[in-house]
Amino acid sequence: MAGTRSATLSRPPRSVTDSDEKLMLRAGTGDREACETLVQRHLGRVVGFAQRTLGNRSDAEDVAQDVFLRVWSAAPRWKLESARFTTWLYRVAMNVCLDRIAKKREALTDETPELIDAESEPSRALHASEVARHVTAALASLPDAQRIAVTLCHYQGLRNRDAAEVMDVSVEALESLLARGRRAMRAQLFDVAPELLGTG
Amino acid sequence: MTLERVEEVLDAYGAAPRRWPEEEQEAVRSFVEKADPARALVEDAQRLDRMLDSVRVAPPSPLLAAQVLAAAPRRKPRRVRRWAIAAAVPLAAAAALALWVSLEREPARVASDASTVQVGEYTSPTDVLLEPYGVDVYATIPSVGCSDSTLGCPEVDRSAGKQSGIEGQGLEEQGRFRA
Repeated sequence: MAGTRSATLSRPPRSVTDSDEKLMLRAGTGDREACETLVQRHLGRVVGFAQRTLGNRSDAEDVAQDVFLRVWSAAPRWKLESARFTTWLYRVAMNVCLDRIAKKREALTDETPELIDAESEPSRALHASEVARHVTAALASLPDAQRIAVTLCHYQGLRNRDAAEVMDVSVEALESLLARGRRAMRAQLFDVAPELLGTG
Repeated sequence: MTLERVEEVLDAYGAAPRRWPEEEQEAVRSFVEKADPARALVEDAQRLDRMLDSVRVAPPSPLLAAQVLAAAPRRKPRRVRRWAIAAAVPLAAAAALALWVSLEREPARVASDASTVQVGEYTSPTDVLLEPYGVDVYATIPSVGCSDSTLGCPEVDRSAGKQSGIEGQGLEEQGRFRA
């Protein structure tokens, strides 16, 4: 009896062990615990993806709220045989971001940090925060598809097949987007911090 | 595996093997270990990776998490209660209908004797209504008029007392009026 009790107590909550897809089924019935677990697992990812895609924290938080509204809306109709939750979630997030970019293209351009002219600050060592600012600017300057590809694969850690599925492109097309995006960023960053890239 | 393919992989996915295509990870790794030009390419990719990794995104605030959760679906009412409500509505309607039907078909009630005014033949002399105040028309012999009983005129007992005559005659007249 005592053994059963301790086994019960030590068993992790269902929300910890359940897959995202099962959590979606439970969330669809109004299960609060399932909703909280989904938020704990994925809110940070959505915010991170949106912030890197949009280059703006405030917009990223708006997007995150919008994305989760769609999650809650889809939950009651979710089926286990539906798409993988993570893939579906990133696709929703990507579409919301692209819609926002289309609507706020001008504003986004205004908010994009300017790359510091290499000639105005020649070859001095950059602090980490400055490096981050340059990288953010370089990422923001990429075409949308390249930026999303780099964000999904490098920052969000998606495998090439999953990222290709999110973007609805072939793996080869994804690889091409990634290569072009990284090359463009390298070229921009080399201009401002050649010592960090070490070549050339 | 070729140096050209290794370069493509590093260009696209960077230097971390976990990001390389799953089916090529081992081949690229072993190629890099053996070929110096490939190692140089890996170091090059590592520098860019480190720069990309310098960009951090702050975790979402508790406020944002709370706002997101506030819009989450709420648990629906328990199934039993919903069924109970669903069943109660038609039952209540049926009960109301049955009550209405029973009331509609109930026979008209017969008024009880106690609450009914006995309606019989009117026996009071209506002439009393015309009687001048303070004058007893039955005790008064009209000076003008009919006194012949054969013609239907009432006979008046002149010898009877005023009060008793009034009473007796009154009752007889009542019966006559009826005839």
